[in-house]
Amino acid sequence: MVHSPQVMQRFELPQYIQRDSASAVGSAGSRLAGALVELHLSMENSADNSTENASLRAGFRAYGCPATIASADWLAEQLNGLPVDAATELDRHAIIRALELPAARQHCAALAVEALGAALQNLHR
Amino acid sequence: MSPSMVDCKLPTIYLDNAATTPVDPQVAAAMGTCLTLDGNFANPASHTHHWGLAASDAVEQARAEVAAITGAALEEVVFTSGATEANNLAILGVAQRHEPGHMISVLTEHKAVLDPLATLRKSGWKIDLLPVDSEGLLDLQLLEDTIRSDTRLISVMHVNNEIGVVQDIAAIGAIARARGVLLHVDAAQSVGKLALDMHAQQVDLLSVCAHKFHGPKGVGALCVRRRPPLRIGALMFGGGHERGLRSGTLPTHQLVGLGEACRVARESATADNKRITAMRNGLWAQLQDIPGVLLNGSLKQRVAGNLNICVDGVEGESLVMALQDIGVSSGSACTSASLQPSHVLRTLGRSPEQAQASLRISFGRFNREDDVAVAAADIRRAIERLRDMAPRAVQG
Repeated sequence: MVHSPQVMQRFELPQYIQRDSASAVGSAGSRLAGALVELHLSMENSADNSTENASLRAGFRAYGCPATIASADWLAEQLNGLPVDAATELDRHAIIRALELPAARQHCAALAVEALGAALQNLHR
Repeated sequence: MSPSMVDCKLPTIYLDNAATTPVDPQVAAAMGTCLTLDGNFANPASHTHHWGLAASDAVEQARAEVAAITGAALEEVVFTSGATEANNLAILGVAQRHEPGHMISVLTEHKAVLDPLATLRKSGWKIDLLPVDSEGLLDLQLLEDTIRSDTRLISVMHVNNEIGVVQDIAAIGAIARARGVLLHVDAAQSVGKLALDMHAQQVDLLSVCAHKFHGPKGVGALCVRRRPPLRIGALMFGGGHERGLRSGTLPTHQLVGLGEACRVARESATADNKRITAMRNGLWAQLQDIPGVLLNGSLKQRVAGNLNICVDGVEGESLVMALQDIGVSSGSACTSASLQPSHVLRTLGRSPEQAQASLRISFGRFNREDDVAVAAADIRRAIERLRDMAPRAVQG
């Protein structure tokens, strides 16, 4: 149960918990598997609901271990203000590097990215 | 200290006494007299000088203390490195003296019993692991019905290490003796806390562990019935110590620590149990109204210090890590893509989801009454914080 300071800081004080409704939600994982992540996305500066020139507002909700919560919080932070089209460039390796996740926790980063993928799909619908 | 521990506020209240206990200062002082030239440092097997004889006397005094707390005779106490070795010696030692037959144990046993039984299964032994009811208690009729003509051993733990539930050893002993089957009891969690008398309870083999009752780690004992003589095989060879059952130089300081822990426990167990039970019950009274918090195991038939709860809607590791003031155990950890919920909680009938988030909170001799309110507030705060960030589907 040893976590990096980056994980512990985000676990103890996550900044991007989603409390209101968003335009799109994507989820990954399951409660039975021990981790469930929701990424919530909305667009700002969007004309006619187009993604052109639009930037993202993001938040998360998560059930899981500290690394799962920290991964979702880090990802939400990166997404905030990011052009919508740039969001797909974020991958699990970026989370693993930023949070110094050991091999046994890298699936936590993958789960957050999977939730982002689902949220983006729903956003484009 | 790990990097993650550096910046965090560390909990100050230790509530994991079922994992291990701090050594009692009286025990530490006694051990300290057995290490240096001016003390009992010598090899207790060296009978050619006064240093060895003094060490031998100290070891025999420790043996007398173990005998007194378990109801064993002096010659029935075999010192070991702890309960894991004692359990292995009991189970594998009995197996060595018999053709492969049948053994019975319980699904909620410690791995130090389940793993040697699994080893025997590979060499032709038939092993039945019995379920428990939703309170964690063994069905004695089922036990009796499971005994076969070739059943050689029943192994049942006195107090469960996770949920603290106390099995009725005297009743199990009566069944085993009536059917001519040996009974091994892993008493790691009960020695020093509950009254034990291996002969009155008709126990043939009894495992003892010092560090669970304020003794040092790395020492314990297996009490082996001698009247009528029970012969078991040894696992360790090289010197024939402990009547051939456990070779290896006797660690005087460890054994003196075990003996002193027994002495202190015999003196203080009654008062300790009363105080510790009150703290445990006080904590449960402050937690039971939180929605989705469930008690695991019988509250009535339970060792003093143990409280084990499932918490719905939060994940186990995060729950433990979110606690700021207390140090406790969790039933599960997210160390890979798949979780392994506690086998004990699953046997009680908890769902995999429920078993994912459990806390074992265990009070000991050195906890104070003030710890209860701090622990209750800490647990409540952690649950609320994690539920607040959980997806609505998890919140129900």
